[in-house]
Amino acid sequence: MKKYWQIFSISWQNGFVYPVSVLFWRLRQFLLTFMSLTIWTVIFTGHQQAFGYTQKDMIAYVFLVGFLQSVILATVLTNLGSDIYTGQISNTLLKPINLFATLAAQDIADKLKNFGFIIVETVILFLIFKPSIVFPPLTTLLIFIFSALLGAVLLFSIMLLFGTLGFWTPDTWAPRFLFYMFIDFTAGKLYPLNIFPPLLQKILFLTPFPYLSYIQTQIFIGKYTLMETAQNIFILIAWIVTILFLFRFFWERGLKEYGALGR
Amino acid sequence: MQPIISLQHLKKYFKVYKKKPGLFGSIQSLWHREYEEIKAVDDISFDIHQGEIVGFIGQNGAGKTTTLKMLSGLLYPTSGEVSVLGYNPWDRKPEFQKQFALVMGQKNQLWWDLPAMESFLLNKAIYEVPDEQFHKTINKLMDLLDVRDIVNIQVRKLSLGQRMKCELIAALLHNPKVLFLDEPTIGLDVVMQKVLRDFIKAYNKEFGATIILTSHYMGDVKELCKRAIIIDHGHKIFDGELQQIIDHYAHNKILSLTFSEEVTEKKLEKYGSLKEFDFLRATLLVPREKAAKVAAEILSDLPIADVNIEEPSIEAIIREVFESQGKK
Repeated sequence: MKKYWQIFSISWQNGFVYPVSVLFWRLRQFLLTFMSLTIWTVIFTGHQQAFGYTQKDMIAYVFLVGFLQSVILATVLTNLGSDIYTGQISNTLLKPINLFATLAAQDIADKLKNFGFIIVETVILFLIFKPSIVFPPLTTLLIFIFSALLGAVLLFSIMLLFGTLGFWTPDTWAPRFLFYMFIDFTAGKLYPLNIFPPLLQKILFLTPFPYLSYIQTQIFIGKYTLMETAQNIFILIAWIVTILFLFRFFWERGLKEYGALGR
Repeated sequence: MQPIISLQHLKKYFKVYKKKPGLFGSIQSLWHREYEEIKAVDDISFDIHQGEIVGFIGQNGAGKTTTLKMLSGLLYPTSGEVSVLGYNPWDRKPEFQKQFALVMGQKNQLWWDLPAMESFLLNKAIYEVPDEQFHKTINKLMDLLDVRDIVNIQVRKLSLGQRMKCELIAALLHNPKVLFLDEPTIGLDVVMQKVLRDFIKAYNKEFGATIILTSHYMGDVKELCKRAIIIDHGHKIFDGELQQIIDHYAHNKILSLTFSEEVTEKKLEKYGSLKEFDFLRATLLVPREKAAKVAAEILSDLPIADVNIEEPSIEAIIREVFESQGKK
């Protein structure tokens, strides 16, 4: 366990080597949520309701989903594919450490680094837009935290799966780019997914995207019954298991193809 | 005695994409790609025993690094068997990984933006090195390599030589029994090369470590290795003592002559193959077995001020080995 703590610690230190980059990255994230909240505020000017949402509910939704995505989508695994293709991953493969745990330690360090900033950003956004956030009962809050953690695990597994592309192609950036673009439209960042027609919603719920932050926000604002919550969490876990299974399959095949370029 | 490293008919073939040149070639590669099979390592077998330092010699692309990567479990072989310390390297068992290290002159394991000490502490935790052993080893290594002043400076601010020394420390903190060194002295100046060679020698002596070393500098191999393995295009073409290479491949000796009076080229050509000539100095290549006799003849026939009989340099012999392989 000590070795993973040390990996966490060194990753944390490494994350602050370029403080200006960190600050600008956070500023970008802050502005994205700020823009989204501003657009919705403008849309509701002169209207009581839009897309079945009141202004109060919509601002609360966008505020929550912005916070949640900042936590869930922050990851260092975006470089895994190129680390594999360039042979950089050999450094880890040569050592008596578990790759999965190593990547998890690095990812947690990155998330915690971001978390401090997210809290400050959230306070600023809260003071500007004054969303009316009603905290749910403790049980719901715990379920929400659990589902948010599962959302982070789901993104981690998806990133691991994308990383395995590096065994076969240097083109690891393009599919990931597409994935992030999809997230913007399908994970509920810009708007709640239930403003879509029912058929489109059904299709979206066949993908893992809504489980990355949308369902968690719905749990928080109490839109789901207990049954619906359980069902969604079950599907979320099923996605994690399926993607990890696929990752393992491709990882083991990939290692046999691995060229350990450079190193 | 059981060998520490054993390779049996080891092969590694790569499928490599061949891109046609130019813009049209790039566009065509979108729907049609041609692949070529490269035999990086082709049926290599050898055994290495504990405490040996073996020089692995070969031209660029001969298969040296690929072999080292298979020995350290990074690459799966296409076929053949490997055993290192009794383990299959590609099982990647932690018990195995704790007993070897791979150092590559052109790649690093140190965290680039942090001081080397942070990477040392990380390796201490990863290899589960006890505190006492860590402090003892690191103090010794820092003194031996004279890096005490630089281990707290960001790695990216260090010179190549300083970085290489820190790389070696990071790789040796867990006292590995087997060491794979791939071009450890590449890009270093002669002073630094000597420091590293002395260090590798001392490490081998103190820990009885088994070392495979690849290097473009024959000086490294000559100074450190009694035994050498030469590979060419994935095949092993020689395995034995360095002296044997000289006996086997060095057909000539070099006679360096200094004259007290000018002699003509014509007069010299009858004694052997004339390599260099500038009136008062000449270099002749003479068949090894006749060298002493020819030298005696020259001494009595020509106005000699000085004569030297030398072995050709190891570089020249190895070059000859590869050239003779190329002609086959």
